[in-house]
Amino acid sequence: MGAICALGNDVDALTKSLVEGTRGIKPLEHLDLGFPELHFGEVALSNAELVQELKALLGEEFALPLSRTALLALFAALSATREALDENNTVVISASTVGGMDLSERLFADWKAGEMTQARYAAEHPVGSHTSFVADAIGCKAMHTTISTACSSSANAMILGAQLLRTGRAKRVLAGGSDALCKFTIEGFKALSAMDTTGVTKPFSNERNGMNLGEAAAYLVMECEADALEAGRKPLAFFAGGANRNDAHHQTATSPEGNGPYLAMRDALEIAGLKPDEVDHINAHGTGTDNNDITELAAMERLFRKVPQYTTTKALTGHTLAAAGALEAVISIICMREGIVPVGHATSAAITGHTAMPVAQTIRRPLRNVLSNSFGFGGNDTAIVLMGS
Amino acid sequence: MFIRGAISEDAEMGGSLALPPGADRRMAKIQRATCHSMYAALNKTGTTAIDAIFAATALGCLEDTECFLDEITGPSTSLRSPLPFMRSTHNTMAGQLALLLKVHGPNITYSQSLFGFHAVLLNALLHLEEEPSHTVAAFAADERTELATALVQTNIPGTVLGEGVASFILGGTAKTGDVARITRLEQRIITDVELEKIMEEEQIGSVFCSQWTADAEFPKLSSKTVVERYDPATGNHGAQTALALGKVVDRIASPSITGPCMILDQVGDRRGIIVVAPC
Repeated sequence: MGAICALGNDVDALTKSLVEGTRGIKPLEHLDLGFPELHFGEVALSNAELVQELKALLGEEFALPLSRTALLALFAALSATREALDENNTVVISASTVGGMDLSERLFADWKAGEMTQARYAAEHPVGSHTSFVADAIGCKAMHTTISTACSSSANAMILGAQLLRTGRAKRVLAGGSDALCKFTIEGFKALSAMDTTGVTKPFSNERNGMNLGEAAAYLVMECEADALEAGRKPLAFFAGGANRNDAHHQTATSPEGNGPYLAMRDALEIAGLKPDEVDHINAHGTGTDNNDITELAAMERLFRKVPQYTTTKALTGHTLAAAGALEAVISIICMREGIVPVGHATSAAITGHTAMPVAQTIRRPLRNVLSNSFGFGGNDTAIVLMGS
Repeated sequence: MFIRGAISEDAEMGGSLALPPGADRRMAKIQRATCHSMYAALNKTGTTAIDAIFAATALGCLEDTECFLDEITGPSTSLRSPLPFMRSTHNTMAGQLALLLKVHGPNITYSQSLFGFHAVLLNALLHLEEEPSHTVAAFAADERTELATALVQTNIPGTVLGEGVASFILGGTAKTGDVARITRLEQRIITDVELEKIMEEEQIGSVFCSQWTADAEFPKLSSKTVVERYDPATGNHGAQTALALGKVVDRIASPSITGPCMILDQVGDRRGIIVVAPC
């Protein structure tokens, strides 16, 4: 697996940050987007630095993209496939919400004014563009595709990957997603009054008042256990099951009962063959917005007699949108490997009417089964279950 | 996988709807077109319940995306409407349908140039293999704007950006009234030799091709096969494959077509294949 986010540029750095309880949320340092009043989960590499790193990996002849979403995707995907797997037969399933918007928004005014000297960069705008770069970079001759279901996108990429493996339609899958910070999404969530304007987000607290946006790319190589063992590779974890369900309530808000989240968690556990009380830990979606946290908690309390120890790592990485599902799968695997439940935001202010609180300090304990939630616009709710190897 | 019915129109949708009164007045153009198209497919097939929705769009809700870009690159203001941002999300259309039709099952939107709809059909097939009794709604939708048209014409001279929506009702088991079935799906790098082999295996009688670039060459195909270029009829855009499938479904029962048909898309060295057979 490979990941780049505000907590580190690779899995080792991410592991260290999680174990040490480091927080990656702060004002922007590398991106010139404005918004000095807001905090973000920014990757600690500029675009120029990413290009330099990628040139070292891919050679000067590889035509690198300009879009940060694609640069981050390449960086994490190459990290995940470092073991020189048989990339020719690797299916690539990526995810993004806005693709090359970080580039388009810089050129939009010129294009609108009829200035077309940089029109060729419009080819990087579609959300699937970064996936084609990844497929080309790893020499993939198999299928590649992109899922765009808002903030549940890369969790859904993993579910599709598992389906293709289970039915024998793929021998190996690279699944994940990428989203870079850009003015478009920041202004969008600002317009929705969904951004925390006081500093760091306070998920699952009665004092919560919004999210911190983040950026990341994360990819996992998925294959059947027998193939991995035959090739001498010990699985890092097992993808035990996943379910995508729809809340069918509102385009951007979840139903008060958390119907979609409840169905996704319930069915993911059923597919995984687990009872609710067999879940050791939940990596909650937990954006820190008023609507998400209360409805997610309502759904968790509905499904679990006693809500397992839960946390939201968005308080450490920011909300990385389409990358969140894969990034939090990587984080969940690290947590199983290290035997920790990391603290996101420690709060003593329970949400009114609810009693289950997120963990208030990092807990060291063996973890066998982890549930990870990713919910998005369009009522799109996904839960995946990971098991320790 | 069986096609219960298809609605394939080139852009503006019309006709009677069962949408809640006033619902489509609040929708963006592409949302409205998608809802009209899917409701028409539901009416045509007498379908009242859907279990899963799979969608494709290459550029999503482009009008709203440009509208919000206009807002954020224009004069600074502390008051921005979140509506175009909310509607710019690629899965807005599939989410809207779930909301209207109360579909709590899987709802996935794909975006990969011409190959988004190929993935839609693959995911529908995977779903129906697991749940053969389910009914799946599948669609592709893309819209054009002046700016997108200008950018495409600058980058690929001679290509006129199109727009359109096509909707399908799919099932996992044969049912009276089915209009066609899909027997093979591929999306990968496929050589000419492999393509010939697939056509032989599937006994393909007709091939419906597209090329994004107007002056690109067709793949070399056996002279026995009838080859027709479909994109002059559908236009070039992300939903063109779905429109082509709709047109193939309309024609597959006619005597002008013998044997299974293949829809063949190509982007660079990658090809996407959909084999459609009569029921």
